[in-house]
Amino acid sequence: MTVSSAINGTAAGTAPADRRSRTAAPQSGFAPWKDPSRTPIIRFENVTKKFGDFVAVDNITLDIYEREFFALLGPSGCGKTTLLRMLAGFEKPTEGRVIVDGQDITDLAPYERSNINMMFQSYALFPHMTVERNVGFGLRQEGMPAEEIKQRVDEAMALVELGKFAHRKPHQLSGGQQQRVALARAIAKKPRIMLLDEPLGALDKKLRNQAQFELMRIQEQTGTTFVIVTHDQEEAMTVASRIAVMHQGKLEQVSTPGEIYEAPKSRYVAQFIGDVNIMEGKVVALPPDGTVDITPASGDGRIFKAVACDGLAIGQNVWLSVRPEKFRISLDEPQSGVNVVKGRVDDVGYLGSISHYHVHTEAGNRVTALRANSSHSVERAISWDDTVWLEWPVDASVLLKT
Amino acid sequence: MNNRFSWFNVTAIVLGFAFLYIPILILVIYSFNDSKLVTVWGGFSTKWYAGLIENEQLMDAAWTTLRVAFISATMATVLGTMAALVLVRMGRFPGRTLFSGMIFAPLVMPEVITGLSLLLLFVAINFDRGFWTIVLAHATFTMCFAAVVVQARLSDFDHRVEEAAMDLGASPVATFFQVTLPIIAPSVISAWLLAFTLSLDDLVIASFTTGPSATTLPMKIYSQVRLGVTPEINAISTIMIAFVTVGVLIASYMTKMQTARVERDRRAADAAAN
Repeated sequence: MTVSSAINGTAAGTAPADRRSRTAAPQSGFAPWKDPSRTPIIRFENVTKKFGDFVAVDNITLDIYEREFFALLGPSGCGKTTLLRMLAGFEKPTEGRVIVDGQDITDLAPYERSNINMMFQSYALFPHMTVERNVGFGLRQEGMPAEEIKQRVDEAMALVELGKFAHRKPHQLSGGQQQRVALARAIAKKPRIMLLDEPLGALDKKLRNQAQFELMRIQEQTGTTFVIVTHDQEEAMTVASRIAVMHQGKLEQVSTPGEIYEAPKSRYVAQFIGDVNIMEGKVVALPPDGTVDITPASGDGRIFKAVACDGLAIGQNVWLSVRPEKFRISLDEPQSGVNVVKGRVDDVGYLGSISHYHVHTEAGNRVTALRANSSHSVERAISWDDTVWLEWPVDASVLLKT
Repeated sequence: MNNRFSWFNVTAIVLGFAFLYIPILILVIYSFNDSKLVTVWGGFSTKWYAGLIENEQLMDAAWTTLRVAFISATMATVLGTMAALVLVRMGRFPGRTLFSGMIFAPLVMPEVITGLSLLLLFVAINFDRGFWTIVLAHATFTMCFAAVVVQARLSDFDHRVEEAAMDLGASPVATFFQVTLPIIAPSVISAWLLAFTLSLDDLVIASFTTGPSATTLPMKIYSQVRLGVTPEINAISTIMIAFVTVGVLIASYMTKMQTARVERDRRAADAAAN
């Protein structure tokens, strides 16, 4: 259908690749947050929002730069939607300021924030208007001449490939089409900042993936700054230039998707993004080569080695996070003796291209390892109840202090 | 299938309908009676209907009733919609429970009390009783019904649609007239129809609040019945019944058509998407 044709188009086809290079190597590409001379387009300054006794947003300071695709990620109730609604003007901060383009907009009503538009969860289309009138609504409020409105509406509808539905009412459209009307309605105003509140939550998985790439294409074509709220970590990883992981009204970490995945700063972030194995231990030595020796809290006395970070002390409690794909799983005991865990296979999940192994370690932990099925053999080399060794490189684990 | 028409169900429905409609049916039948005696059938005739046109008093009363109903229903709908908006939208505010209780109290207040209190008020402020006092009184007592109808619609109204309008630059007033009102229009219209009907057949409150200059149809009918029921009364009552029946039929037909259309469109959209 129309969505898939967008994916095949040249603009959409190159967009994901561009973005990946951007996130994987932020220094070489788009990274305004690393440039101290840049002023952010959006600045939350010590913003707190309380609803009665409940603190929804707890003293957040955050900068978002022009042309970013910024994701606010977290479970429901973490304050991400409240933060977005303060930007749109639907909630007023209890304390702090919201600054856009250097102007304090904390006290402006939503209809006075002409350069910010929002795409709502479940779309909030006007049921009594045709698609065309829905898209033109914001322009009519500005008192724009009719021909100009017509032109801008056509432009916006072409951008989301909705042209032939102009005279339908929202209830005559499918979910995916409604989502695009909602997008066109906000984009028709040509805002500098576009807010998206769980924009794809109501779509099924396949459609959602297509729509994510479409959002990225539109963001790049229009050069608008996008701020998206989502609880879907895969969605945030796919679309965002930077992700803010939120937890109980606070920012846990603000980084590129790559950094969030490879270098999480806390157990919360590590566990929220992707699958991870967390092992607790104590620092026993800090050799001069920049590594750290850790004895696991429960284990056979073997030592774990990891790359050290600042501010470590002997005897300190730390956690090692290892992604399932970083393990090497084998039936023979590895020679190195460092970063090795022995266990028994509890469960094997065969997914075709890869297999998941749930391993019950001798120390009593459940660990998940992942292995690509690169050989052709139908027989699984490793099976239930096998004794296996899991090994990982020193630089493949992340040391977490909290 | 066979259970649906069991003797019990059939008896129940026949008895139910008989209880509801036999009195009305008798009234309608006797309006076509040739005899002047209401209880004796003297052959078919429509002379009482023709006679109505010439009965100036009765026609005057009917015209007054319609005007009262129209103006008071409009006032009640505006006020009731505003009250419903406050109740649904403003969330918690000090005195909210008291406010909502006071709006809905007239629903259960005996009409005699409402009528008497309004009469006392009009006397106290020295307001000339007549057409406008009936209008005000009717607006007062039908407003709560209008508020209930509109409130029911507003409480399942998606607030985000209004937020979307404001986000797109519409002021609160523009949002109300361009988005909220068109969406809740069907319930506002039913609120108006309900208020109109209630005003049309009210006898008690109108009797309390009127003066010598204005007489409504129910008052006229009531005073004539005290002198003896004439087939003329039957005739005008039959017209009123027809009036109401046609109105209800049109309203329900429109609702049904709209529901069917929305359902059909939705199915078509789903089919097109797959």
